[in-house]
Amino acid sequence: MGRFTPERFAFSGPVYYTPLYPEPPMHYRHSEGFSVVYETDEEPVLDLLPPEVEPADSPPVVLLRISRHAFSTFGPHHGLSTFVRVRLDGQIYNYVTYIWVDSEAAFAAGREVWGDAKKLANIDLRWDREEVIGTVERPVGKRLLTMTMAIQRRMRPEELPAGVPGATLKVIPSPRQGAPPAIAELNQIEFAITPEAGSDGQLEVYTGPASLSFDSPSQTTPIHRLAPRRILGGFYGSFLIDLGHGETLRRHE
Amino acid sequence: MNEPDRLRGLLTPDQFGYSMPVESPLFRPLPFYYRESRFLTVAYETDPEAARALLPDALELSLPATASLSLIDNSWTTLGPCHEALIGILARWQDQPVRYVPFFLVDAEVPFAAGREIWGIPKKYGRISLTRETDIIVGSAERPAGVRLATAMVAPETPLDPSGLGTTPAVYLKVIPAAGPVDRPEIAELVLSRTEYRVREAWRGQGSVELPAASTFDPWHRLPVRAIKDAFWLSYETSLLPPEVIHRYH
Repeated sequence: MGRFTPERFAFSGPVYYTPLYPEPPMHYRHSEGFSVVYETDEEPVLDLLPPEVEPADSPPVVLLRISRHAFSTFGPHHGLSTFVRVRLDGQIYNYVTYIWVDSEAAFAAGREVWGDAKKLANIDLRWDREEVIGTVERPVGKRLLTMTMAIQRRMRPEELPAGVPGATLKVIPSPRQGAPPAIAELNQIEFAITPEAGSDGQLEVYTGPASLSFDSPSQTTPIHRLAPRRILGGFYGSFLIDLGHGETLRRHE
Repeated sequence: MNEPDRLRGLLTPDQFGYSMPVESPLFRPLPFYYRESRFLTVAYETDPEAARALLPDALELSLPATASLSLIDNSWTTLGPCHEALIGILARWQDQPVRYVPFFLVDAEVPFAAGREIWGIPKKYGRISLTRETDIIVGSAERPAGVRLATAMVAPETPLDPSGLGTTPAVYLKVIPAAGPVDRPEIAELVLSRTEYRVREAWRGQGSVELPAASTFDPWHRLPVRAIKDAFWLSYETSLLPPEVIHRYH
């Protein structure tokens, strides 16, 4: 008989010796992030939310962030996260909708542990003269979105969005044909995002006029449905991020 | 920003797509179709205790302990083109011969995610090549780029009758972690693949296998080569059918 017994299984596959990713917490350091906060239309948001969840604002508010993680336990990579502020059981969450990365381990761990519905994409965050610019392509050559901001001033700590937990819909298919998903659940994600301070002790987070455009629609990655109706603000900075375990809030049988 | 009167989401479970993101799924239900696939495999005798150490306790090792290194160029599939590299161990599930796969590399997003989430194939990304040089077909697998985990070679010598080639189904150990800090995975099961093969061309010849890198992260060298048993090169088409769960751990 084989000798590989369940108590020896690693946290993730391959379950021998060195799995693709370890058990949380995951850590990110010197994570450059550029966020745009905006209002969007209600109907496309409702189409993305399960029935337990409702938008927290009217019109719904979206935070779209492009990050360049110079160091993380998944290795250096880029990410795009799209959060809708929602309410579930009376609590406010950032509900994760479109979320893309360019790292294999971050891609698999996000999908399998928390239920981040990640896809791979070509993501860039760079400077062009006085403006910071973030772009996303999927597939390579098809520009889905562009966000820019000219930095005008440092942000005050009280101006930063309040930290709220994330929420995801985790769905893992059943191998059996026609069967319901093996896992279908709403999860809460705990993460701490801390702005880094400069040598003067002030936060390295800056703001200025920001823009966001969805450059071409895609039926396979329809993020353009969350088009901005009014930009509320943008901010850019350097952050420390610690991503912990989640908690299952609801199971769909 | 104003707080709305209640407006619940409209995405009900009966509308969930097959995979995440459920409103624009990364991959759709089986079957998946592969065309124009080329496959190099070399079977070799390995150390039985090393093989047992990797084999789930619900399976039995077939003796003499035999592993096979395979490198595949899937130039057209409904999941997109990809290369694959894997090692299988010949085993038995009850009375059925199976090929248990502990190591697997791929180089494309959708086969990577679908493989892990449907079958539990322990896929990682790797750099894989399958080329022909002079009379020898060479396959190699690296992870990360520059660290050579495996090289297989075959020199096709004898054409084979495709109808005489049997296929042994693969078995994978599917482990999906729970979101919360619990002490066991949300899914832990053995999954038996079901595949239809149509071999177009098959050749047998001399083969070789090297597992040069003693990588802590991808320890393919833990199935050492004792003797080469057989070597094939195939061209074929495949349909991947819904698999079967044959064992659950809890």
